[in-house]
Amino acid sequence: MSQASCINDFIKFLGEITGRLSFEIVEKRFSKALDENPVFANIEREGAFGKNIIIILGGRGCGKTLMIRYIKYRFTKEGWEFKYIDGPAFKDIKSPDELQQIISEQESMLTKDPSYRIILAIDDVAEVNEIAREKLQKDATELVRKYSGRVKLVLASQSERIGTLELLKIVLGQAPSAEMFFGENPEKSIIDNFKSSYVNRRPVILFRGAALVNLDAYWSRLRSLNMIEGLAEAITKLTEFYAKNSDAYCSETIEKVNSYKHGLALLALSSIPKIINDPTKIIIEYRGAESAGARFGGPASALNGLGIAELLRAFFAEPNIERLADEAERIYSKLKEFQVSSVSVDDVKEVLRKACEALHITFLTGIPASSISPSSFSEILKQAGSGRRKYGPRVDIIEVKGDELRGEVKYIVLFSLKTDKKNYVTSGSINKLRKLVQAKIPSEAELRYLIVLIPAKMHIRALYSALGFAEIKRIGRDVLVVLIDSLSSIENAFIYLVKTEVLNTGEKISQELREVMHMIVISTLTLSLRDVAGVPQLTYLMLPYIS
Amino acid sequence: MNAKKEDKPRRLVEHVKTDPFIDLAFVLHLMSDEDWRQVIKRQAEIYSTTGDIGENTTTYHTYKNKVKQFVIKTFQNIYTTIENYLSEEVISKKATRAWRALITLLASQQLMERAGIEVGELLPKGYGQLENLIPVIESIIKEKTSRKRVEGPEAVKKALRNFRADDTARADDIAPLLWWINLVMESEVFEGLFKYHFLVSKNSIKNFTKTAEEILSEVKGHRVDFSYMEYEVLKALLSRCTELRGQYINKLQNATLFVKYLRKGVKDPERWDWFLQNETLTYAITVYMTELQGFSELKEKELNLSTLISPRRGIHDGPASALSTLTLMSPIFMQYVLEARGEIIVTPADIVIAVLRIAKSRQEVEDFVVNVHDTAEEIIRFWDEHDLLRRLKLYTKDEVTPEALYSKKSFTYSLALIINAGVSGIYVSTEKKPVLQLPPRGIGFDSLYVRTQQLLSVTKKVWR
Repeated sequence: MSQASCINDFIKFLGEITGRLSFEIVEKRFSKALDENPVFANIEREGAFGKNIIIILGGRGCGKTLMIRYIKYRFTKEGWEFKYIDGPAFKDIKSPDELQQIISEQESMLTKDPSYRIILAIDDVAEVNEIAREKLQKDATELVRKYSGRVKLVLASQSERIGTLELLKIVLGQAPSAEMFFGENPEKSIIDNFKSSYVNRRPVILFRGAALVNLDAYWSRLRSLNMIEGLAEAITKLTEFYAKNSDAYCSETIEKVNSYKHGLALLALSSIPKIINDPTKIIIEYRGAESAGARFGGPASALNGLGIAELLRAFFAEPNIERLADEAERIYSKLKEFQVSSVSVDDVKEVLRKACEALHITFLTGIPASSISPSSFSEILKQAGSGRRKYGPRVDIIEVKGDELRGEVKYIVLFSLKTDKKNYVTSGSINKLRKLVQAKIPSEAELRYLIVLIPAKMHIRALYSALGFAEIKRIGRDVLVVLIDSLSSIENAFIYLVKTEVLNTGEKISQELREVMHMIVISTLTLSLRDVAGVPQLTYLMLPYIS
Repeated sequence: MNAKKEDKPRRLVEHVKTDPFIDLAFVLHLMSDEDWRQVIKRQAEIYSTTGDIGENTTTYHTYKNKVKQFVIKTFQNIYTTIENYLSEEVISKKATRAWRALITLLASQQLMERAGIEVGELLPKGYGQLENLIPVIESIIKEKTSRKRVEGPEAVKKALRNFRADDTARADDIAPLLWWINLVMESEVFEGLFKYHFLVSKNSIKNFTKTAEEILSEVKGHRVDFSYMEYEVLKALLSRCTELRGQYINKLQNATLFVKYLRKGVKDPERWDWFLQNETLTYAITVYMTELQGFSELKEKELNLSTLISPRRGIHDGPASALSTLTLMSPIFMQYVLEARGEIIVTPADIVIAVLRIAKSRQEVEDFVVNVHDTAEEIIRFWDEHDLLRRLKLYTKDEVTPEALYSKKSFTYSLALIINAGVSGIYVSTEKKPVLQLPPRGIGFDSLYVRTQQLLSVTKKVWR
């Protein structure tokens, strides 16, 4: 087989696996090298599969069905029986008792044969109907409790589905034996852990008798400039995994990916995570439907199995993506060499401004604070440019669209604490901050947030003194802290590069790659810009909601 | 009316200041704007967690600046000189109250959602959905302003009748909201009413009227009539407490329009006799306030609604704000269920008061456990001591026994409200057998675990 046709076959294979696949097709398509998949290996190591209830969550295309496929492969080897149930099938009102029937059948088998062990896997479980949900809450969990160690309940659901949070809160959190599986305060515990798993980069959460696998959180571990090596490695391994499962093994693809792996990793980071529009504000990797067939790298794509398959497909099929990967590869090698000891708060602000422009997010500089009103942004502009001189502090504002249905708009007011030569926060800075808070610039109810960029953790005291005792409790609500000193050297170098747009060799970065880098600022860099408690406040404000 | 008279502190009831329709206009303007509604919804959540009521937000200031013109425009055809009466002070006071009324209202609704309480159980279903209430309020104002000298009760009745014809639920749903708005917006007038209730809750008045009538019986020709004497004395006391002269008592009817008239359970709401002796809504507020203050070691009684719904700053402020909202909402819950279903309910305030009374009588200073039976028994004792039980029994045939009380849904609901509001002084526990289930998760319990000091410090924060 010639090289070109071998690559074409691989492209065809990738095209086939990027759609919604049924379990049967997944089973047929992926039968080889399942142990070598880096995602499964990681989750296995964390001990998720030892629990009685395994919940698998993740955005579209993160590989939930494939994971069920792996569980089947992994446990049938050890003599477990496996039963796959397709959740949407229960939407049909004619089959309300089907789940009950399955549960009764399994119960009689378990009673008859003491060596019988079964895995019940329900895919897209959020889509089951009301009756099946009740059966799941009461009978299925009871079966697992009664035959603990011999029954495993695997529940997979798309994180973005409205029913998923209800499934976690009510079906599982309020199940009769919920404490036995999830410990004290099951409902709160499940949701809190799900929420923090992405930000804390913990894909597996182990409860008393259950495990929650957030596949998005697996990818969030790799969504960091510090983890480019790891992401590059994951991309290579995934390529190998896909290559082994395609009709003809194509070694050229692996060689080619290997030589551009860091560049591809950089491109993969430019996808933007999204937020579920719920008070819990859960971040997920989600590929919007609008990006299907579009060029990889748009804000709608995601960092997950599907996203990487799409990236690989584009890499092999489109010469411009290959060129981009090549340039990114070179940039990465330069980034590693760069020695930027620290960046200033203004550098971060400048980089954010550029990123906002690239993503068509309105970023206004030098707006008089007194002009800010909650009514509309156009009014701010009108007032700011009304000719009459406004006194008082001036600020930079980012306008972010929240819930589009409600026409919700959030305003992020950026403020940086300046330090003097001796590294003390200047009193001018403290006074200005105090004025902003007194002028009610931050207001949680009116969706105006004051982001205070702080050079180092030690300067946080200046923030407390600027706010005063009465306002301290606003920190974390509408006065949000971003610490700059927690950035690593590669992140500092990246910021420097985005700001200057020129390599130390004098080479200018191409427009296309600049766009990619700007997207990385929003999608990845903001995740590293955290407050004292480790909450990436800017990410929560800037990421788009799932439409 | 000249400025000098207006400044006189003793005249509480004045026609523009205490017009409940003008109050409605203040509230209507705030809830009509979609953006403002979103802001106050978010602010309500902030209020019950941090105590910040948001009177420093730009939204509030914008509203305050715009509301005057709206009120003038709405009422100019019936009050030609209305602008003269709407001084900055009046505008500021009314705007603040409208803001606070809606924030606390939404906060109570959010607390109920958090506690997993069925919609329609303690408050009507549409309660809190401000957008649905706008047309009803608009229609009430329209009726009132359609021509000069339309009587208040007639305007309300007519507007609600129109709605009842095509939308029964909405018209009925609005009564508790109107009670609440009326109570908050006219807090000075109601403060007078609370003073009156406080006075009559002491038994000495009855003895006084009896003695007076007995003395008069010594006079030749005097026809002894104890109940008439009592009625007249009470009416005079009401006039005194609300800073009125006797002949102006009808002005009080207007100021308390919604609280007094929108009461299906009362046969002739326009009469005063039932109110003087058998009132439940405002009477319960007085009893709850005075009883709770008894645990806060306050030197003087504070019968002021504004204190309860004012912004707070400091530790325990979120829970204290939530508790004060629940305390004020308790009589509304009680009245609503009494009217809608003819039932007696246990309110959050009842539970807090009962456990604090038990702590006091048992001299518990540390944590202690009390079973639900004893708690319910204490609630009945408290109602009985404060003449609330007699009043409640007038409007319901419900059996009042400890078993009947704690088996009511409202008992677990009120408990869930307190626990979910973050008032970390009361928890549930099981001593023998879990006979009740606490929403939303249905945790079984048969007794309450009380952290006396914690509960006391949050209660004290309510009054500061």
